[in-house]
Amino acid sequence: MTILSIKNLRTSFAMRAADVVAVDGVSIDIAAGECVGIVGESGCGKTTTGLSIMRLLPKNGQVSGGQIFFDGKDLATLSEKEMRSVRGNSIALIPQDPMTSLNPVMRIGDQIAEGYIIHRGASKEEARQRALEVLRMVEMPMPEERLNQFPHELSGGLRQRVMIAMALVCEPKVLIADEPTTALDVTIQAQILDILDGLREKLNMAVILITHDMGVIASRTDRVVVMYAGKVVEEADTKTVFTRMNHPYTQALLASVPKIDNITGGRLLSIPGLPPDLSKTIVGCRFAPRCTYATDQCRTSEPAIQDAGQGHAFACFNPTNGPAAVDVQINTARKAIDATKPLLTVSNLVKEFPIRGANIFRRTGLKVSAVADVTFEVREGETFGLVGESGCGKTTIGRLITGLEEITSGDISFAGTNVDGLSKGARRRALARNRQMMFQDPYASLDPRKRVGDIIREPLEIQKTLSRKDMDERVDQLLHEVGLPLAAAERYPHEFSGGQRQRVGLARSLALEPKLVIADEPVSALDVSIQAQILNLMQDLQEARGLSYILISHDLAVVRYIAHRIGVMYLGKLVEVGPAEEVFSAPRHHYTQGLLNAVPSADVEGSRERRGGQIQGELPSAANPPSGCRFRTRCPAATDICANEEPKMQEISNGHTVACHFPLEAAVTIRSAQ
Amino acid sequence: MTFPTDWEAEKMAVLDNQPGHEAALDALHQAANAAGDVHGTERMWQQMLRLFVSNKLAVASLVYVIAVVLFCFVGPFFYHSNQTDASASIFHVNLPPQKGFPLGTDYMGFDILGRLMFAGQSSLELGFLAAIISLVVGVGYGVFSGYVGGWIDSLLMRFVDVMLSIPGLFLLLATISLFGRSKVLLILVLGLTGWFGDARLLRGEAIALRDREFAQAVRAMGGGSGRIIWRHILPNTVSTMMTVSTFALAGSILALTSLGFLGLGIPLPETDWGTMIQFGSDNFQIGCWWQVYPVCGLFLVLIISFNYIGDAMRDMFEVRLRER
Repeated sequence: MTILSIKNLRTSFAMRAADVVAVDGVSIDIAAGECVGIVGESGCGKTTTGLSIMRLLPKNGQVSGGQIFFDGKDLATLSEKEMRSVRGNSIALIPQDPMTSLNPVMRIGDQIAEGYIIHRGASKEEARQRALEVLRMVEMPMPEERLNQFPHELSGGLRQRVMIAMALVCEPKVLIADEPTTALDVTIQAQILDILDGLREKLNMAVILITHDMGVIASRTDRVVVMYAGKVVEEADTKTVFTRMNHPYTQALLASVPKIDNITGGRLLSIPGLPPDLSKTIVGCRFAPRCTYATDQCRTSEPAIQDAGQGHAFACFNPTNGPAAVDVQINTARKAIDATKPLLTVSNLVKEFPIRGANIFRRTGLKVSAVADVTFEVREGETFGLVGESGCGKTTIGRLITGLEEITSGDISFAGTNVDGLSKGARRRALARNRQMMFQDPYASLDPRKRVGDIIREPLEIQKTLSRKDMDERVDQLLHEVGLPLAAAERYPHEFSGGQRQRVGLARSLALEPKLVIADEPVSALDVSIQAQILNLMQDLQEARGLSYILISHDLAVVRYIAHRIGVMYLGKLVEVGPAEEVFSAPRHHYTQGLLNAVPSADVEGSRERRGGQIQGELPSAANPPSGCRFRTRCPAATDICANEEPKMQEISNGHTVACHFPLEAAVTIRSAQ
Repeated sequence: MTFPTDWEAEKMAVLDNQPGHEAALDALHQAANAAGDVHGTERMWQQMLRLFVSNKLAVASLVYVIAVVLFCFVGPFFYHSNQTDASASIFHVNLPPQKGFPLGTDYMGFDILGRLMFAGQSSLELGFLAAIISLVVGVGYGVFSGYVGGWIDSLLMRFVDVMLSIPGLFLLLATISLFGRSKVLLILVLGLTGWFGDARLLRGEAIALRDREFAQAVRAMGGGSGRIIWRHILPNTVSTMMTVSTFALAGSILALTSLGFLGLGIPLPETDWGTMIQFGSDNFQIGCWWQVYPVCGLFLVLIISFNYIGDAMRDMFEVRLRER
């Protein structure tokens, strides 16, 4: 039974220069109890579609065509007052960022109750009872106490549960979840998605799940709508989209997602180029400029959406059939890493941040243990992946190695560098020649007032090792190596797309020809197709220059794809280190296992099988870490000894170490036997 | 998309040094085409200029400010009047507008039209120099405080809090009665009492910019604080600085005029608009309206104009960020 029906929806934004049609002729039907995924890259109109249904568009946006039928009414024509009785009552929205979507000065209970009082005319006491009821529904721990708490007292995962509770308070028929777990860690993401799934079944709600994450789509949706540049390009049940897709964009999008069970060292398929500028008139198929199958017909006329039977529809003149033949190009040129030649040795590294009091006279004496006794090494030509959830100290390690933070105790030594006896400035410059940082946010890491050429040149100017002419040459060469046109040197960062900026960042970090690049979440701000471009580029540069990387990431699939060895961190501790293949196929630490279980895989079958053994609960505070093993509060195998005695790092097989009293048995799988 | 060097030649050169990486280099070459085009957009200043021009009130204000500056500094070359010789002017005191004296004369018999220019010169000069001093001190103090942070920042900012808690005019009067009121002293006093608000604003910017990744990046490549402050933080505060300086200019001219009105302006034989208003208002009761209205009008519209320009600049910079 169709409950919500979108017909030919067209939403445009009035910009100063021109109107941007963000959603152009989108039709979607959603049945009760169904979970429909809308997937696509940023700017494809998926969020705008969600906001159009709710009529919550920003001031300059408006639904300029089409109908949205819900409950026999066209939402697009309702008055604002009528619309208000729909919002939050029969259609509810879960916004993306739980940190900013709650009112910080209102108690949780009152915030949840608010909608119930408005729509149901309930008394305060009834609404409070209802709030408690929905908090229980979202499996909030200690719901009675939460009612009187303020948002800042809750973690991100718990806040997202509150957001879901708020959306559910009036038992809506349709729930629009816009990237509900993007801001959360994988273990928490799995918990939240499980809750959403359970509630959908229990309440027979229709859920529209808007996300860029193919793994989430594969594991949670019944049907998928793929959007590109404001249009629906393909629509089918989830399994068909993943196994028998017809549109080249769907195919390319799926092929560019790094998969957790991929073989390390392969190449990802990337989609060349950028999505079109929607403020300009587009002739022909919108994907044609980036499509490998495009013909002249695609460039001159636009394909209409056609029905392929069984609810499968697509818009393409030259449909493909099924996923791209991923020839697993294991890079044969990938050099063997010499284990006896450590480039960087980190031993017993400790970093503690004091917690400041409210003013200078009040020292709290407390400290956050961000990195606690971490030891590892990085070899020449190797990529060392550092993974873990937010707050595990992986970024701090990167900053310590680059010298952006002072170490509390321990030692970081770099082969062939002796900085003893140098002045502070000279030491910093000497260190910078060996190790460079690639930053996470391509928007914040480039000075907006400097030309790209000057940005790349800056490290050379600081080091003063080259003549002016050589610097110019080096900048040109670097731009070329990272795949940017030479003209880019004269442009300002705001003229570049996110992926292009990240290339500039990579060029800058390579300017001094360092031996080691510390890449802190280098692709987490990018769309998958662009992400694949950057990851491939990083691998190529490693081959060509013999670079070593420390890849810091929360995304296990990205790390698996590019790293030789992996270190898993939990709450400031390194819990497992080993060859990438082994860590992924036969993890020995319970945390690693749980982390792997939590990652939704971007294929339908795999993602639904691997649901067992989720990590429960929340991350403890690093200001007061658990005694003994820090993971014991969430570990399924924890016993008394874990609380009393801290597990030591022990070598369990060649080059594979783990810090656990009860390490998992190595599962003999075909892959590890290879 | 064009490439700077002959690709094949470059590849050979690299291969000479590192054989066996042909595949990797070819892949690199493919990647070179994969980044997509860079969208050329308007230059930053062009965009800002267009935004400024689209604000009609601000453009009118700017025209007025330029006109006043020309009137004061170029006017005297075309309109000659006696502004210094009191023994000659004493014969035509308090005359209403008439032939020879288009705006009448003041209590000492000086021609009002010429007097407006003469007083305007010192008002504008002093206002401008004082604004520069307050801007330099305020930016330096604020950026330093914000960048250094910690207890030094707390200390420096508490001083600013204390100074801001004292009414500005009171501070001015107190310092002037202590140190006297020559032209140089007035500039210094106006400049050194006007920067507290600017410092606070710039401190906030410096803190935000200091923690931005691009400043961190400079640190990671071995650069020091000097480079971060001069090359990265200061250029990124230009928008704030320009807005602040416009308001500072208006503020110091207004402060100087207030002092003049209270009889503490520039001492004779020179004068300023505030002093003109003060003496004019004494004669207002005997009907000498021409001694008050022109100078008040000129001055008021000037201050309002500065504020409109400042508002437009603030919008202009903010819009640039929004349209990114």
